[in-house]
Amino acid sequence: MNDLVVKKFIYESREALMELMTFLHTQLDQVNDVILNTQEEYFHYLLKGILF
Amino acid sequence: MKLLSTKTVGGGVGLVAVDLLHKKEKVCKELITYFLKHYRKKGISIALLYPFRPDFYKKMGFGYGTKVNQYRIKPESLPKGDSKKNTRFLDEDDREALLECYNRLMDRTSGMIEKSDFALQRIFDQKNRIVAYEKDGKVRGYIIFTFQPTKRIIF
Repeated sequence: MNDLVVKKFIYESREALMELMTFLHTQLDQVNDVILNTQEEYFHYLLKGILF
Repeated sequence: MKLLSTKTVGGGVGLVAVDLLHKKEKVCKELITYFLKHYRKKGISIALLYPFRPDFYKKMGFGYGTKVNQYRIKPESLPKGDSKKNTRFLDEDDREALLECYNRLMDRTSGMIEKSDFALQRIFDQKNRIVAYEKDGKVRGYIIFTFQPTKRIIF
């Protein structure tokens, strides 16, 4: 299986962010991990089911 | 680039390289000093670079930008909304719409750099896929991504 590497993620509204996230979520059957770089300090609040 | 509430020109350096036979002779320092003087002479008040050794450039007077974190996430851990009906793939015919979306965000984000049509060409030259969110005929967001075989790191 492959990883999906996000090189650029741009959004102008919450709706855009959520639909693009939903798109990434729906790749779960053929993608191991989504890899992304972000300067958004609170990005982790978007995630669920994370085990540390 | 956008700097606080205004748009200004920033000086940038993309790459510095030193001949292996001339390492540790302060060649890089000379190159960067020249680069800074060059833009200062033009009256440009900010210079940017993406450092290999941040502490080296810090000593030369550069400050640090915003920290970048890398996440490796299972797709199922990302939020799933009710819909993705406004998403579609973009191709070269959409470059204008892509550029407009990026530059609208740039215009309200301090520190972002304006993209030229030339810079955009590289996006389409590489093996990238682009999925956009489009509403009322306007691109309002996009992801540029690629696939790579999973490499497992064992700690």
